[in-house]
Amino acid sequence: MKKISTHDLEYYISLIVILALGLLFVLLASPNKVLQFILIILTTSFYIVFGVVHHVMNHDISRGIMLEYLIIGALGISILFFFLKGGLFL
Amino acid sequence: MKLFFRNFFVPHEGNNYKGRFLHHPTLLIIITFFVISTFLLKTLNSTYPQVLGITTDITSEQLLGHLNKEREKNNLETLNLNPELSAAAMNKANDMFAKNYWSHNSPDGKTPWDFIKDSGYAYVYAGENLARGFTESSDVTKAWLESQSHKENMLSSNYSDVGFAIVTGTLNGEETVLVVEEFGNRNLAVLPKIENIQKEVPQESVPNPQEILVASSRVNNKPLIDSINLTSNFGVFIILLVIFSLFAEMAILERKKIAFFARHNPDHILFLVSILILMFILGKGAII
Repeated sequence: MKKISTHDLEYYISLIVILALGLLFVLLASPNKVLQFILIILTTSFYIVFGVVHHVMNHDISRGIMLEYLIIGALGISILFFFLKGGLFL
Repeated sequence: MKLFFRNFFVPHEGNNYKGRFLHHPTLLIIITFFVISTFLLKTLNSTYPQVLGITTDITSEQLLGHLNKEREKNNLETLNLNPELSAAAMNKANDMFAKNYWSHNSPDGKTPWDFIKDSGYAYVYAGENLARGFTESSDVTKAWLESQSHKENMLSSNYSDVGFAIVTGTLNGEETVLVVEEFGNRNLAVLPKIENIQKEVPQESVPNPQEILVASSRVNNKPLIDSINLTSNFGVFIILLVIFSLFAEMAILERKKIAFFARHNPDHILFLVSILILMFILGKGAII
């Protein structure tokens, strides 16, 4: 089993903190849906930028990796909006 | 079929160690599908609400039943459904929609006690619980019972009567179901002391309690397809499928000692798990 480096461990802990803070702020913004949507977009943007920066620092960034972060971010947002706008009609 | 699934979900040399499901074009097709479907579902709901909509079943009878069951469990007297308190609850709900606020006090300073007094109920003790965005009576009761202050209202021995209003409307641009629960107790022996309060009530603002009771007793929509179930089940299914594929890719590449290609998979898994948590948080109603 491959060991996780301290650098990677710090990165994952930071990512978990960013996502957890995003969730917390969305929860605190309730019931202001507009603010919640803005916070969701912001958290997703942080996730994309943070991931890309991490790969830049590791010198293993490529167009494919950047695109993958963008696509996964867009997928998460599209599913969330599908549920909120198409299911709950918010 | 087996080959199709192998190509689609299992990374191997033939698909360049990446299941086709995780290929960018496939994911872009899925994103496009979700975007188009969102608009289609919204249009279908506004055009044919009887076909696609939110299944809602909240009635004052159910709320009263749950409340009294909980009180009996705690050896407390059951509460009586009071038409004046139901009228106060209805007026409160309409005021919240008209003035667009989600609070116990209105922007112009009107308190819950004003609504109760205006309905003609001369209270000695009064309380109010509010809920929005719920679809089932049992979920409203459960949420209130999980909150200490709301639970104290529900299980207070100071009250003898209760009134409910369940109203659909638009609050902060969001179509929602508001549930207002007004508690009260009027001890007849104390009535003369608050006679002046009753005189303050403008007669034109007092609704007909019987009419209000009928109007506020239930919000019961049963469309053919429940939009919440449809979108949440499908959304969760796709997220779990992506998470499963990312895990499978990580595991197989790790075993083949080419883990480099899947280094960012844990990031995506963490992000998608937070989307699942968000769906759960945002799908829940709110209480104050």
